[in-house]
Amino acid sequence: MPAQAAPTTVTRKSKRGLKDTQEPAPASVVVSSTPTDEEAEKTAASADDPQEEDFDFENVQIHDDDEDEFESASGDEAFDSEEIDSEADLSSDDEDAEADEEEDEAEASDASDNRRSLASDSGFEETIDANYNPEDWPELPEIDPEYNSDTSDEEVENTVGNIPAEWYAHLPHIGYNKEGKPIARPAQKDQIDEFLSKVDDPKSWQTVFDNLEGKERALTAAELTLLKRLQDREVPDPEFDPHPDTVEWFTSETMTMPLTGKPTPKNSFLPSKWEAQKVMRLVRAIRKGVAVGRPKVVPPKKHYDIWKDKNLAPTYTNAYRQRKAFHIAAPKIRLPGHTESYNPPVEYLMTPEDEERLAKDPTAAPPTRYTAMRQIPVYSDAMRESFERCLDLYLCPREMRKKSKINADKLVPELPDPEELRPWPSLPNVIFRGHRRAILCSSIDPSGTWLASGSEDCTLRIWDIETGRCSTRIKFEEKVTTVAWSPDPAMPILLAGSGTHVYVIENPQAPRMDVERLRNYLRTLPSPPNKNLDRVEEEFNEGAIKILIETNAPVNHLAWHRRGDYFVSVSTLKQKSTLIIHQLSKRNSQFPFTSTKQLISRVLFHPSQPILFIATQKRVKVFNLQRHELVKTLKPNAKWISSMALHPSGDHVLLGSYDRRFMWFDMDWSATPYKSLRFHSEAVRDVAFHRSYPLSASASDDGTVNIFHGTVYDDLLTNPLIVPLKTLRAHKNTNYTGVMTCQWHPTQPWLITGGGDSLLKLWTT
Amino acid sequence: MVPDTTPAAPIAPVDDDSQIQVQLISRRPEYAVSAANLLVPLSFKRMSLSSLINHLLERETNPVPFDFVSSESGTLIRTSLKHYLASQNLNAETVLKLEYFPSVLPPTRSEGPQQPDWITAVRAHPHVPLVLTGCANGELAVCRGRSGTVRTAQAEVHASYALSAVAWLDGLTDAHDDRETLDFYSADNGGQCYATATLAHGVTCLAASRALQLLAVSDTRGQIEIFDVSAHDAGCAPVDADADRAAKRSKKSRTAAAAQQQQRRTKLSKMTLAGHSDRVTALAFATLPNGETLLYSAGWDSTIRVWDVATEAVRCTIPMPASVVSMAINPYDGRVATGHTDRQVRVWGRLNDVSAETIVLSGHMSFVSDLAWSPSRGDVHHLASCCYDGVSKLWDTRLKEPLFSLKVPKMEKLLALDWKQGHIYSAGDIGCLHLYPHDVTLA
Repeated sequence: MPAQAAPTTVTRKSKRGLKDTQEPAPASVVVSSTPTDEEAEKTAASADDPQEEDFDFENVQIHDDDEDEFESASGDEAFDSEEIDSEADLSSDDEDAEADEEEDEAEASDASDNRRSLASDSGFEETIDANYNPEDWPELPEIDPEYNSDTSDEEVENTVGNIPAEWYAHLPHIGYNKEGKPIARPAQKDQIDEFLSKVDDPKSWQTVFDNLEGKERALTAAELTLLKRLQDREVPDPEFDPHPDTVEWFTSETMTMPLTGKPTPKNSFLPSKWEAQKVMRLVRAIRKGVAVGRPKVVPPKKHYDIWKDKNLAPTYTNAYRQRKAFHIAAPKIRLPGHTESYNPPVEYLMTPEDEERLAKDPTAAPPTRYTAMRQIPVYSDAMRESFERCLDLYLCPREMRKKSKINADKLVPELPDPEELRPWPSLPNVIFRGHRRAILCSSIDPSGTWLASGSEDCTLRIWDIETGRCSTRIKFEEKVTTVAWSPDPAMPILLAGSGTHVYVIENPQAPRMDVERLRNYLRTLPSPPNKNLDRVEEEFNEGAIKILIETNAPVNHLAWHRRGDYFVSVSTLKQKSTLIIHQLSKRNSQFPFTSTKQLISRVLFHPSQPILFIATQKRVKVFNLQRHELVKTLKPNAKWISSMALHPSGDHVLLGSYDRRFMWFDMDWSATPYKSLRFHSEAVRDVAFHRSYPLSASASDDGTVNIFHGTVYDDLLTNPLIVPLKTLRAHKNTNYTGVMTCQWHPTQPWLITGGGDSLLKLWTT
Repeated sequence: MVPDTTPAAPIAPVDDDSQIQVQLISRRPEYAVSAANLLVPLSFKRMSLSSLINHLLERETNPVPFDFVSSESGTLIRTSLKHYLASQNLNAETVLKLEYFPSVLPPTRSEGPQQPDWITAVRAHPHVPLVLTGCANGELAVCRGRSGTVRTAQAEVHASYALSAVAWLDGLTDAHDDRETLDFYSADNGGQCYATATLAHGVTCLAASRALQLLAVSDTRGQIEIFDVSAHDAGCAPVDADADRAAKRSKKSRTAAAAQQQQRRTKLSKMTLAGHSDRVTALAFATLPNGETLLYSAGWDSTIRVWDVATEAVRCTIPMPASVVSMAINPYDGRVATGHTDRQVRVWGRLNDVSAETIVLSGHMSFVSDLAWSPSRGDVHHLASCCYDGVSKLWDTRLKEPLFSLKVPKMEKLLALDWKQGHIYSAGDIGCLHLYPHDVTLA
């Protein structure tokens, strides 16, 4: 009967709910005599919800086993309710109730006792005496079946059970009796009859129509009281006292009979000496002004770590952090098989050949056969091995090793393959032979045809790059320390610094038209205003040297402005450098910096702006020549800057230093290098940027030249990509000098290096 | 005698004992043997085959070394036949057709006249045994083989500028008259192109075409100027067996040349071909079978440009893997050989088709400074190249390795090379003209 099982459970739930919320617990009453399943569910829902205020008791069907709960409080009422139930002829409910009753018999013994006494009262279950004599039976008054019979155990005639009445509405009967005979529908009263019976019957107000039985029934007085109390929202049990008097078991008042007999401790009524001393100390400190309140500790703001891994894997580290023991399982050992058995099968035993073979292996344990366990001899090494094992455990406890999961290859930055970045120079194809001593400087003319080189042998040579032929050789009195070819391709002139002089030299092998133009131009120049500084020697006019400028100290660097009119010379004496800017068209020289106490190693003009880069010993200072101000100072962490090169865009600077560093500066980045590389084992002598290819090079005293690919991106977000491409073993280290100079060809990805071995080499793709 | 047979038992695996049928063909009637198939062991190499033919020709006393080329694949046989079959994926059951010809003997070097400075340019006349050499000190010399300098000229024109290129106004002409004056041109780094004009930039190379009467001049900035030289105002060289008369005529012509020099200088170029972005290092005229004349130019910008001289337009631009230093066009099959800065010589079958197979000849150790194809039709595959490392090489383009490496006694930078009239001429920074008589007159 699944339809009935549900309400049973529901009522149990409702019972608890009611109990928890101290809701008025109604005794079992069926107002709606034929509740549907839906109603039952509703009931369940409302009963489940203890907060439900509008308790619609009219729909409530509370099962009769609720009475067990209330019996202790109101046994009579429970009995009454049962009576009402049976009177309501809810036969099925009754059966259920009986079943439940049997189950709960032990718990609800009171209720069953009641019923037994009831049964004995009605005389159904009478113990029959053995010496029973009907004459001895007393005369009892006649029972009127109409009025005196007890109907509490009366069976309900209709057996259809708790089903909706409308199921039988179209039928002539309303159900079936025990014999299975249909019960005829009682005659319906018409309205007049109803009215008359209402008028005639004084109890008509307490009569309700029972659908199951199809007839009217009068409610008892107890039922009426219950309904009244429910309607008044009172506890249905009239015996229940909702406001009992409070009993104070523990009070603040002194009790005549206290719960414990312990005497009051002394310190509860004596003032504390130590506390007083402490307070006095504080008072004195406050008076002296020594005691300052504790600084208010502002707890650090805790941010919720949304990325925290909540399901941390149980690794050793995590366990260690969480101070948890971390069990490390012992390594699994193969289980012993037949070979290790003390009584192995015959085929596992050793043959003489096997023994011979095993004799060479001292660790092998040959299978041996013993007929019984007691035959097995004592293992001679047992003591020693267990001692060693203990020693192992003590000295070398098992631990979880942290193994780095990072693949070493992943630590190396991802760089493109150098082969993809071709072309870059790799082959020494032309060797320029002629100098007697170490090369100090070199320069390539802007058309890429001529190479000028200065050497320690006091000569300057001009070479044809394609063939490697020395076309011009000019002898000076001192070492040629610096050369610089004019950036103007139509002007075949170059500067050379030797001793304290700056020479302006024409290239005699330049195209005739250019030479003619240059000579005409030089003729138009004004005479120098400062005779001491700049003089033209007549004897030079016929030769290659056109102008000679005398400075006060040995010239160590020369650099052209991009237009080929201004050039800057640096002359250094005793660690003090003088920087002079010369103008060729006006034959004028000026000192832009009043005093430089520092040594200047290199000076370069910005390729497009009026900015001068001055590399001193440890800093690179960037001056704006128009505004006469220091724009920026680059701070390479180098001891001594040896060389400097500017990217054709002017935004990137290469620095080489004597402490082996090769540094790449991004002018938009910061004053510190973007990349500082130490690929060389000795001092870096020269660095160079290619004019059109993304190539750069560094030359070092260790005789090698490193070629780098350096892509510079136009957007400010992407950093330059620097890829080391190739190490050229260019020159032999001679007299502690390796490669002294490196120059990129202006149009081809070719490199020219000059070294201490007095050779110049052209490196091509 | 090797039996002249019908096929023997079938040869299943290729092992050293097995034999192969070979058909030996020669285009030279004096070396022809019977056309029947021969059965030859697979272990045979060139020498064994050569001695076999000498044996057949009954030339054991005076043997001639032969070279063998497979008629099917066109490759020279330099290994054993077994290796050759393996490389060609052939089995031993095929009949191998081998064409043979007398092999090229290593050329012997002889020295020409010594020049005072580096020889930067060498050009031999195609018909007359005269060699024009340009010197780095501006001197120009016309030599007649080993016998010595016929005359030096134009020293005053080029002054001290280094000559960069010389050219005969050559071409396929029937001028074999000894008395005819032969026109030549020279140009230097200073922009002077003798007898033509003065250019703004240094001249890098020259090419002259007698048929069109054109002179192409390229400069260091990548421009090519083309001049009309129909007025016969170039430098002249007498071609005369008599040295005295030659000296007289040379003096005469020198004064004449100097007199005409001023008006020549003002000469304007017929057309300017601009397109190369860097120095042009090689120029060559080429005449197509249909009579069209094209100008090939190559340079440091790693391209070859083919110009249509009539329309002044670029016909095609072919990208090269490296900068080109030298170029030579085969006069017979039109193949272009280029020497590169990456030490390779590349031979391009069809220039328009980049995907066409290219032969790469490697072995040089520096810039391949000059190249020359064999002038005779018989050895179309022969190519000579010289290099800054002082070695000139003779290549057969059917082989990956050079036929011969011609070394000079002293370490020297070879700058120029030419191959005309059965002689290979090369010269370099010692100023010595090297002659290699190399007459491969094959049918």
